Amino acid sequence: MYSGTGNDPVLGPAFRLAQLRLRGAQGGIIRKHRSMVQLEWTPRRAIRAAVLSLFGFLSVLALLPVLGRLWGQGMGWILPRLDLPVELGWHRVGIATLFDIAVPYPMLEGPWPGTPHLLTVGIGTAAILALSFLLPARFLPARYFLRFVAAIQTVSLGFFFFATPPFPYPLPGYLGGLLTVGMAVLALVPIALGFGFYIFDHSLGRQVLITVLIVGHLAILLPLQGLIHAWLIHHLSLVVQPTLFFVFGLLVEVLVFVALYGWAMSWSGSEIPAGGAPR
Amino acid sequence: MIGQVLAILLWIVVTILISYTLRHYVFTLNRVFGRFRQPYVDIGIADWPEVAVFVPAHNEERVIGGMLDALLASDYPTDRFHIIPIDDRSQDGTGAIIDQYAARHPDRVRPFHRTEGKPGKAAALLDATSRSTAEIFLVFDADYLPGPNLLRQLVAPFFDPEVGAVMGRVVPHNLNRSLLTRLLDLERAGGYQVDQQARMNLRLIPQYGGTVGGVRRAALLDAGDWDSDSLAEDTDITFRLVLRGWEVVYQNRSECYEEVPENWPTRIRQIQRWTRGHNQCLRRYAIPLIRNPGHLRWAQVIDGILLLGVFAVGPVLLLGWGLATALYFMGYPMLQGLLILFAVASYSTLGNFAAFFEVATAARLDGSRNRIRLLPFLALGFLVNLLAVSRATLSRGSWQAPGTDGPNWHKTERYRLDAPGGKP
Repeated sequence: MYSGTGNDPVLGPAFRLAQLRLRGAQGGIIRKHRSMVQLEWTPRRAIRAAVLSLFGFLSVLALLPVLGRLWGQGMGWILPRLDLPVELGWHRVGIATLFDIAVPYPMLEGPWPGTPHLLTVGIGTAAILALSFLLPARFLPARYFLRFVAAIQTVSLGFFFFATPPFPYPLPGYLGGLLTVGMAVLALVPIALGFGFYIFDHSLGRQVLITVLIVGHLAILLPLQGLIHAWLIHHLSLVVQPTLFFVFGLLVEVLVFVALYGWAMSWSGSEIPAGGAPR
Repeated sequence: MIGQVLAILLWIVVTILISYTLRHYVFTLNRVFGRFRQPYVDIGIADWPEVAVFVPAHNEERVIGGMLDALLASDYPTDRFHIIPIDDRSQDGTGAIIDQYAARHPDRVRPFHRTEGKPGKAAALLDATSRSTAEIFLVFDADYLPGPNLLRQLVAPFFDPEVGAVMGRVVPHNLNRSLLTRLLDLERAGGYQVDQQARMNLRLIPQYGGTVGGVRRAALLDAGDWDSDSLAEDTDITFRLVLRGWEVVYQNRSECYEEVPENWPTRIRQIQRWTRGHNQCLRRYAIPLIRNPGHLRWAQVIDGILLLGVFAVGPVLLLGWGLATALYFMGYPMLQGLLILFAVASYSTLGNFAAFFEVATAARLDGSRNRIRLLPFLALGFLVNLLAVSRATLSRGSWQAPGTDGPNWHKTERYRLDAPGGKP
């Protein structure tokens, strides 16, 4: 039985009146069939979603300078432990005159691939391709993914086999770009949730909670991802950078966002009944 | 110079992908908040017209019995409908099972055994419907399980004389068999609960899907009858009806259970078959749509083009990846911005947020929430779809003239029962 009371303090009297129409003879709620379930677009709902988005966006933006410093401290602690004792560079991003964000990145050079690099990565690519054929048929998506990775890596191997230095994207600039775009993604999370989540019937607390969870998760993931890329490129040379950029770059953040978003969308709300109509 | 050309091509790809992304958002937000149109679902008492229910079947012994039992349990007035199971040269026990039902229900089950003529669903329907004088033709695939009141729901819209075809919602019943079936359940939810209903709400072009639906006999004949050369008779008749001025109606409330593929090879064959048929329709009807016979609104034309092109997006996306990769290695100026924009836009097909938003919304509206947690796994399904659809699109069968690759029965594997009869 749908347990919603209709007394939503945010959505107001119009919503409560609408809920009365669904009241059964013995006080229960007459559930709509899932084919007809909708939400009502009220000014309060629109304002709440807009205010939350804006507030979340500005809050993340305000925290980014602090986050940049924290990333710098974290990298300073981790880099020596990865046998990468390098200085940090700082990519400064100014937004109007309001914010001045310094994004840290390791000043690490990615070597131009030599024969050992090309051989190592070539053997690894062949192994990935072979694995894709050895996996059973039920792992078909994994097979396709491995072949996709192998295809991009093969193109990269071919490029570096014939090309001569310099590479248009040196490692420090690549890492700085990855983390700067990552910060932009962090700020955009509340905007995406504005029309993808805040418009639904979750409580305010849950809306704030998922925002914090996603932003927090990505804030920790991004510098670690950058360091993993740095370590791999430093040891395996620039030949792996294109694959890391195309496959293990922002797509990872998007999938993390989607995973947490999907979890949050499974949470109960006040208007759409859980369980739905009989299936 | 080469870089500029590639960049322009990439911008075109990005524009196409962004248009599909926007479409996801518009449809999803409309489904949740828009004016809901389901005008015919309340019709319960009426002078019901005569209906013929066609069940094309080719080697369907595992499921045909369950289908016929479900139809026989319908609450549609028994003197107003009959079932025509079409046994199209089955080599298994399908014909015998159908004959057993006909012997038990001679007034309601009128089998049609095809032993010659073109093979394929469209040809089978063409032959079978030409032998019926019923006012309304409903069509179900043999693995479907219609509920008792589904026939009334599907027939009700035909009281509107402008309605030429009706489509109901397809719901997988074997969703707990594997990760794939659960992903297909999510995809179906997005496609029907959001896409189709939003098209209905916005008065665009809901698609008649070839099963759990039907056509008005007069409209079918007006549009030129089934095309036996068509690889996707459902999309084909949808656009011919629309171009002739008939309405196609979607009824979200009219649900029917189906079996979805339980393994990836079957799924790939299914989606490649849809791709070839859909692309054939794109080639046939894109220009007539753009020329607009006059009665279509431009929103309908744009939606129609996007609907027709939905299976051609796969290779477009692959082309985009190729262009982006080439520009990346060329170190093309402004590459960074372009690539980032492309990465965001390409997710509209490979799995960007818009598509996930649509599916998550559909599942939430359905009320079955736990399955939404599978959302990120949809990326796996998108990847397989992308490659399967691209391969089918680039194949000759997608673009050659109708009839040159004679349509055939492309069977989707059935799982319901090992024993013939297929009762659920």
